[in-house]
Amino acid sequence: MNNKHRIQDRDLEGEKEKLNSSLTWNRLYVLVVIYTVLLIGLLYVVTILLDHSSS
Amino acid sequence: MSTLDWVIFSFYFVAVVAFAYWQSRKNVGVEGYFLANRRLPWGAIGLSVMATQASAITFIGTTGQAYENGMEFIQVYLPQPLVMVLLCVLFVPFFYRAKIFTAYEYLEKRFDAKTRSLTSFLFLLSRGMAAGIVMYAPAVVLSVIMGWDETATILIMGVVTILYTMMGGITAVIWTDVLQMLMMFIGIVVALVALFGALPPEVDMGDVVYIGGIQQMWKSIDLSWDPTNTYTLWSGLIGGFFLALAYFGCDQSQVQRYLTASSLKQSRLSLIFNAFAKVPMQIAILAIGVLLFVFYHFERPPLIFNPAETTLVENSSHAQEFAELEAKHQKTHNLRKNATLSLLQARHNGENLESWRQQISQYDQQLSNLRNESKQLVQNVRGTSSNDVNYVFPSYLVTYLPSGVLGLMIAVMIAAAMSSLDSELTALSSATIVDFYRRYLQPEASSKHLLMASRGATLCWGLFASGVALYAGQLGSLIEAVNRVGSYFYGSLLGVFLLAFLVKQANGTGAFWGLLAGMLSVFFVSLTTDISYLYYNVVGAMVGVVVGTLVSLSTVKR
Repeated sequence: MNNKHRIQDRDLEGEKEKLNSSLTWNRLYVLVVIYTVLLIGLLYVVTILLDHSSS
Repeated sequence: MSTLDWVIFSFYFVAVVAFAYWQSRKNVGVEGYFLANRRLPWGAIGLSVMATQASAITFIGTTGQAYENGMEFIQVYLPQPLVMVLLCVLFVPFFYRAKIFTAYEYLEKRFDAKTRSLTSFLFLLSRGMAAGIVMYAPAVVLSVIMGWDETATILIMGVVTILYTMMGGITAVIWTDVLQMLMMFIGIVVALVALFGALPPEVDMGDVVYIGGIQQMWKSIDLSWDPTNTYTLWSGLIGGFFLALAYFGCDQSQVQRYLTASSLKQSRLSLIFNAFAKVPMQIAILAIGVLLFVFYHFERPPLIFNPAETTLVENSSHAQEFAELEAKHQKTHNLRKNATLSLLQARHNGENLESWRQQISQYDQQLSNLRNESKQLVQNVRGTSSNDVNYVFPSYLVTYLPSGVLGLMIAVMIAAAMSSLDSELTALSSATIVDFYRRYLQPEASSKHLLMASRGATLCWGLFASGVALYAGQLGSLIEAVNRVGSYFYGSLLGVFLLAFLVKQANGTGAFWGLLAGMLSVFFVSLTTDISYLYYNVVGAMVGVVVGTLVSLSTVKR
């Protein structure tokens, strides 16, 4: 197998490969989306709870 | 700065150059110089992606902005995790499989040479100037605050960065970015700890949060729909999304980073790292600004943070007015400080806070008005508006930080500037050599020849950026014009890449006209409407895709 084929195989492996036994790329992407939604929610709660501009 | 500060500051420079030299030994050939032979791990690339985006202005300008307006700027960063996912799914696989050196090279593979050359040329034009500003902005601030010579500051930053970038290429750049990013993390923690430590002993975390809340400094989400309001959740999510997608997906200074990965998986992981780490880092930087706001309830802040502007007004015909503002400022600050201490005592005793809260709010407003009046005086004397916001954090550092810590923090700011500049230089050099020199002038050149040419291009761009930085004060309108072209260009460029990835029928003619139509539409929108600049990229990208698709379909039919 020449070097070019090895690089291509390595790339395909990279795409199909699971990150570990339970984590796939799709699950990781969903985690990022959930993380973003939680972040926005948290910042909204901070905005409301820490607003002391009025009594 | 004390001797200890200078020792720490000098150690930073020596460490960066030595580290870059050590890393540069691994470079062989032009692929090694521009892409580290595609063998870098995700952790290093991820930190470099972060360091490239975080310039000195991030530390200087963002903290000042938070001091004046609170946390609202964070909304621009909120879509970045989602952008990273889209990059992983759509952009990175195309770039990675195409085995390209520059993002624009992909456009020739997908469309034609004219689209590649036009986009690469516009990138060189806007980024070449921007590289100068990356040096100029912190150099001006540091020279005023520290009393350093502006030219020497620019030259030291420029020479050291050119040296290690020229020597070591992308390998040295990415690994020094790692070092510089770690320094920035340390700097953020040190600044937060130092600010907490500088507060009166009776002030606890809850008090800090409460005082900030009186002026809504923790307000991070604004749900208003007004498109002329610059920072809202919607302008952040929509405009910030397109801005980040254009920057991380189409700007060579970022694309080049994830092309150096040893595999597609490593490329993606570097971006996912940023998806999780970038927003918390930005929150921490903005929190420094809010903590400064709270800190200055107990220590009197300068009326104008830029000492050069203060001197200018004091020696002008407005000196008397300024002295009166200073006297009012002193008096109002004392009243606010007393009210704040009384509020804290009432808070600790469980008493009603309302009257103290109202008083503090009024004094906050009065101090803000006095500051605005002072800025107006500066504007009257100088003829241009005051950019005092950039001096808030450096002024605090110089006035309040102990010996040693000051040297570290100044090194952190210089590191932030250099970690952005080095990435700009490798990106400019790679676009020059790969998209023009090798493409049109020396297609058969040997790897050794291209390596030499690449080092020469890095040197030339470094000298150009230093020249822009040295003369930026006199180039005001030219720089503004180039920045404007850059802002018109970014969204349209994204439109071309989206056209390439998503529209099967798209062709070179469509992409070319889509790019021009996108730029014109942003130009038109900026002239005729007051919408937030964050929406410019949305307009440019959308018009680019629509016009590009229509022209492509019509040319196919013919």
